[in-house]
Amino acid sequence: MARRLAALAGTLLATSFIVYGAVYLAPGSPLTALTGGRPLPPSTLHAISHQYGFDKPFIVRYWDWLTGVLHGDFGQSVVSRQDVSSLITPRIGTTVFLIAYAALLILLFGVAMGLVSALHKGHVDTTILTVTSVGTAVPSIVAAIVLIWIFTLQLGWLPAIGSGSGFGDQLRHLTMPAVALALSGIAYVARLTRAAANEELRREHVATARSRGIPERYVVQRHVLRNALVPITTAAGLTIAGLIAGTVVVENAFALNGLGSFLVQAVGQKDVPVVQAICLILVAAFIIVNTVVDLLYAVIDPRIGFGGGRDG
Amino acid sequence: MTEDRFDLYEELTRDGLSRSDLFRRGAALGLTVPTIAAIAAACGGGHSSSTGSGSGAPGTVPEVGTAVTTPAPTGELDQLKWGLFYEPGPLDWIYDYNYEENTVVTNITESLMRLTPQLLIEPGLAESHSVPDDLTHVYTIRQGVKFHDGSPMQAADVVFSMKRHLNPSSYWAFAYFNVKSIEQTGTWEVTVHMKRPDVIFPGLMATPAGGVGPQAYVTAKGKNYGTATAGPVGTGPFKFTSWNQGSNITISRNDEYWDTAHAPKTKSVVFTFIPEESTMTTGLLSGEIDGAYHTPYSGLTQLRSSSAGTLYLGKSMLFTVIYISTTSGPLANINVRKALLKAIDRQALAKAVYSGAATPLPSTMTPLGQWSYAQSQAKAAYQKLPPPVLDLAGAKKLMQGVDTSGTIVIATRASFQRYINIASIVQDAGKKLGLNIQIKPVNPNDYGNLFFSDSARKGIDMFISENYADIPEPLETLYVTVTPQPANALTYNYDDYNNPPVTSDLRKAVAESDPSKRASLIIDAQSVLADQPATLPLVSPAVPLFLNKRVTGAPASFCYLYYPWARDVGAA
Repeated sequence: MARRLAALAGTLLATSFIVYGAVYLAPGSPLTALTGGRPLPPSTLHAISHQYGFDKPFIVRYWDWLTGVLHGDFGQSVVSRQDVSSLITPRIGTTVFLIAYAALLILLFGVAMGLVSALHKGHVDTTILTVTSVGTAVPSIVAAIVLIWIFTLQLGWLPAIGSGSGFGDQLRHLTMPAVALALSGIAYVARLTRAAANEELRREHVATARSRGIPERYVVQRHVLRNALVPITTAAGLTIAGLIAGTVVVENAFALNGLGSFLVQAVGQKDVPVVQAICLILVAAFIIVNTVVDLLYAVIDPRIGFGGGRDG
Repeated sequence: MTEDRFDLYEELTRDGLSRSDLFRRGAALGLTVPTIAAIAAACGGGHSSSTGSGSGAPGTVPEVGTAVTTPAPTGELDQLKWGLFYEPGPLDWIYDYNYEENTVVTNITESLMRLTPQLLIEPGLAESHSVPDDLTHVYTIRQGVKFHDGSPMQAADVVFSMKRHLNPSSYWAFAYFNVKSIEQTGTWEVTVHMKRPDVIFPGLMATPAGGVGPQAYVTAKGKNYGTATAGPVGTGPFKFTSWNQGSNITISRNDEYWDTAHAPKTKSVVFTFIPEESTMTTGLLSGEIDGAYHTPYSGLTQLRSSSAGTLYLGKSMLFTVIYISTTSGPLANINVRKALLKAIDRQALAKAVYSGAATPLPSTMTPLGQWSYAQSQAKAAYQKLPPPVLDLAGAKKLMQGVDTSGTIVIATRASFQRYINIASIVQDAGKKLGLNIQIKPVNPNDYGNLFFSDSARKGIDMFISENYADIPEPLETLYVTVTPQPANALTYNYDDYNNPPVTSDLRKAVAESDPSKRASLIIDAQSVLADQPATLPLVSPAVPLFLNKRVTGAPASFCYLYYPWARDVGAA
């Protein structure tokens, strides 16, 4: 575990340097964001650059940032002049809710559809295969537009803007975004579950179990699902970790105040302290989700030890 | 024929002929039906879009860019849900230089003068403004006005507020370029002394350059003033209430508002940030958002035909222009500029790029909306300018014997559809004249730098801009674009344009306090510029305003940046 934590810290440090450098080298200037791109006289531009320290060399600015972080200070947003931590905290809630909701949909519908498809050959299987083929190909932005058209503009059932307040209201607001975000994931996990289950169904031990007259429900649970769980967990884990990047599009489409939309905005404005903080959170989240998947392997199949080695 | 067509077009856009009148008049002029229809379409397309000003009688052709008001409200409103297309930066007036900052802060922090829905300038927190001589401006401060924190507004607050702009980091510092000193000269009197006469300065006192805040509060909050944690305090009809970072800003009614004739009718306004164009349109269509200024052009067709509310296309000071940023190559030749402008179909551009919500500009970057004085003089001069109609034959004639070798690079903001479309229209026009125009997409973050830095403009011969005048004074944008400016001053003169009659006229105009004489000088310069263009003026976009049917009263014009517009909104 200590090794993992050290690796996490190292990854974060490297990420912070790379991201800082990338934002620094990327074209554009935060002056454009600050002034809305309207022209200003040179004296004003000069004064602003100095006030925000844009005229300091890269390494000095990075060092200032890094020492701040080590003291628990993530700095201030250049654009809104608020502490980065106070800007990020309310947004984490929205993004975590959205990802958890979408992950739940993926696990529930993806695995269920895959199993149903594997166990019921014929029309059911064909239908699910067709639907999931389409599903994997639909980008979340398209899904968002179609969902809004149906459920907001035609039926008037669900709101298209904002993330709501209070659990019930949030659930209502985040349903369309979560579906839009989860759609291709559901389809992918369904197809993978179907393949994994089919593979297990062809195995000798399943045939043996059936020939012994063990009830079908029991065969599916103990022999098919149990063994198929490893590839399913891998796929679902990767898909869910991938959702973190997918939130960017969905949050923008539904005007949600999440980390993804904030990241896009901050990159556009070259608001470095904000970009840094969000990237670090996203990288940490990605690493944590992968660690959880690793831990799950050990639970699902005790032969696989945590951390890749038998000694764990 | 082209003159007639332009007259008809002018009449249509300015005075509003009915559709049947248009066809009758057009036929009398010998225009073909498709031509008349094209003119009508260029003026705004759909029949269902409203004209505002209560002139929405059935059968009238929409007058793009003329609406200034919307029908008066009939009752009070609990909450107004307003859409902003980005989250504003700090609401400290010295940094409020862009659209949405001002859309919000104009309801909280008022200025010495005020821009009206008709796009005129009237007294605001200054009861009166007098100019005893060209170098002195005296402001008499309104008495009995209280800030939202309960403290009374005094002349000292005004002096403090104005002096904040003397620090070069104020985005409005340029307004004070010619100011020598600001001092309190009486209990209720503030006097500004100028280094040289500047007729633009008094108008700018209607923008945040003339904003007034409480000295004690602003000083106490320091650099946090105007942020989410230390909200702005002003004298306006609404008080700052809360700011949920990333989601919304709420302002609520100021029950002690001094301008009792315009007491706000809405208890609170919630501004929601919706950067995605399609989401903004959806929010307006579904009624989740009651209204928004500058609604996306991409959604205008849907908004026009929506039963959820009304789309207004308001009077504006916006102009879309191509700045020329080279002193060499084909564009250095005045005839090439003129020919290119003639070959750009500005009517088609208004229709295709702005969904009809724009008026083609006749060879001037100054739309009529920028004239708050000498209006009939300005209009007469406007109609004498070369009309904004496609004239390929005339363009080709100008190009005879012109060296067209070498390429012209036009910059567009990458992924910004309107600029990309305009650039390809220009490229197409160039091709017809034998000009090789190349489109260079510039990273959105870098595009703004084209206005700032010489190095960013290197290798770029022209670039597109949707710009606006802050105040109804044509000199504000014209002067800094077409005359040479000192090194440390604000300028849009990217091709070192220096045309002696223009420079002389405009330098005189900037110092001319008599409006009629000033207008003559500007009009004179304008006619020279039409013949020897410094820029390529294309269209004047209208201000698209959408209001849900449950609300009304918001002014429809471009005033919404510098007029406390939310005070006029109530229940329909």
